[in-house]
Amino acid sequence: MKRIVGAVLAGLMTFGLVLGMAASLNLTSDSLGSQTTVVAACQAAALNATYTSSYTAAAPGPGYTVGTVTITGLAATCYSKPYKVTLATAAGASLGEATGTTPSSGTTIVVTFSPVVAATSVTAISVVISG
Amino acid sequence: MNAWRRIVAVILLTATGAVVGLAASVSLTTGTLGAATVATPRCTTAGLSVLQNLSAGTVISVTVGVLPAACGGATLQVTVNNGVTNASGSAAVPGGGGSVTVTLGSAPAVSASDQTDLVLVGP
Repeated sequence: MKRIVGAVLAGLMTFGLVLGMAASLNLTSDSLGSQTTVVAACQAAALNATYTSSYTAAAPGPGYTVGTVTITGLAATCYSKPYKVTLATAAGASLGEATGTTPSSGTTIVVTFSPVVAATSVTAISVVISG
Repeated sequence: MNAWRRIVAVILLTATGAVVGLAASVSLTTGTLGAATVATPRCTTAGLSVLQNLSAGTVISVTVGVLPAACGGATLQVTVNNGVTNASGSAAVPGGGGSVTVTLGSAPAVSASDQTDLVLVGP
């Protein structure tokens, strides 16, 4: 019994020493929480853009310009969501950006650019749909 | 013996509390986000022949030639601007390419500085 009591006392002393050392630092912390989730597109099916061109005598003409881009292939999962469409040069410079909300029905988005964009400069189109 | 059990219970509860503290996380949800960029291709980068067809001092149509088959099915739009007025027209490019004559909606007078603009849209 004495041995047991002795062992317990020795253990408590050791444990107490460790606690004593741990208590020597004053440490506070801001909160930290993290989580990861997947950012998915509203549809996987391809969209297709077509251009409507018209002759414009004034700037950016005289020449043919693009004032309307029609995007087809919209899925119901992308209805009523904000979008941006940008026409750009080969170097990636923006020629014009149009924003709006996708329709709540149908498969077509009609995007209007104002001012119109010189057709000769358009070599790329970017579309983003979020929400 | 009960004292030992209490000590062990306190140690276990303390350790468990620490683990729960580490596991705490924020709640995160996200909306959808889809984006894409694609090149707007040209059906040809080669030079095209452009010939104004005249009648009584006016331009009545424009013939565009050397159109490759890759432009087949496209719509050719042509505008002639003589500095005072302009006239436009459009026609479909045959599937095999070749040449297309576009009749203008009106006949602008021939001038020394006519400008002819054209664009191929689609297919």
